[in-house]
Amino acid sequence: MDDWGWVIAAMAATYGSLAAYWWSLARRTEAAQRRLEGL
Amino acid sequence: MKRTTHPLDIAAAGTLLAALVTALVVPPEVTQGDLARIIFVHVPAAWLAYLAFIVTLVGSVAYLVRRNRRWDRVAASSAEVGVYFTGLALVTGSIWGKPTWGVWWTWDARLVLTAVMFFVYLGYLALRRGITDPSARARRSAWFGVLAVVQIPLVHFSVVWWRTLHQPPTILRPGPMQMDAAFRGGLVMAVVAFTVVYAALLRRRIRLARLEDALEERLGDVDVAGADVAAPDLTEAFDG
Repeated sequence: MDDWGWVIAAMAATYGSLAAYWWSLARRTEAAQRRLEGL
Repeated sequence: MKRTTHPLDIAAAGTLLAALVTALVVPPEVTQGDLARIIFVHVPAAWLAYLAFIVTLVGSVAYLVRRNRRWDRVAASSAEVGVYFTGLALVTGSIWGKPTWGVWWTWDARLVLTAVMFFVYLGYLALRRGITDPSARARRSAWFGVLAVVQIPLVHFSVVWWRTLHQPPTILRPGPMQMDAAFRGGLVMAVVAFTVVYAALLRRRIRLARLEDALEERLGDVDVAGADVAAPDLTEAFDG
């Protein structure tokens, strides 16, 4: 793999994991809100 | 459910996009070439690991002094975001290490101490899950948060105190940054962008922690109410 391949891998790991963490926080918040409303 | 976009979320998305474009368009570095662009994600991730755990320390101390659950939520939320950024620093460092050093991992002081910090704060999160009483959980994890922060200077100065493969600090170092102006500008931009992202993530995580606390409190009420109503008196049954 050339240098750009490694750079793209690092960017993909960073931005992909950020998006995944952001999404998981949103889903966990929605789930907690739903449970709270259901009580 | 009404969805609104907080200004901090918009700022995070905007600065992050600008940081990505900057990282891809700055000229290649003189010795490392294009590989040096990884610094634009690796250094901010490492910086935010420090910042997040310092915020955990502040939240922990404030909780121990004030005994207000709000500070416990700040400390715990920042610890979770910090674990994420520490993991990211390890992964991006590894991606840079393979083409540069020829290995994904080496038993270097900086790498090992960063990995230890990652697992210690994972332990902090595990500790919180293992204690059901909210006050005991907040108190014990606050002490954990205070003691664990000693790792930050160890990680940061490991490249100065010991002979290591890792290069000396890029930022938070004595003297000026030894870096080309374009690269320095890009790095500052990336650090600012990721710091805004950290603030946005922290805000969202604290909001979730508030809901979790409310849920825990309500479930506690339900349990207590259930106990009052449903607890049968079995004395007669056993007396017979």
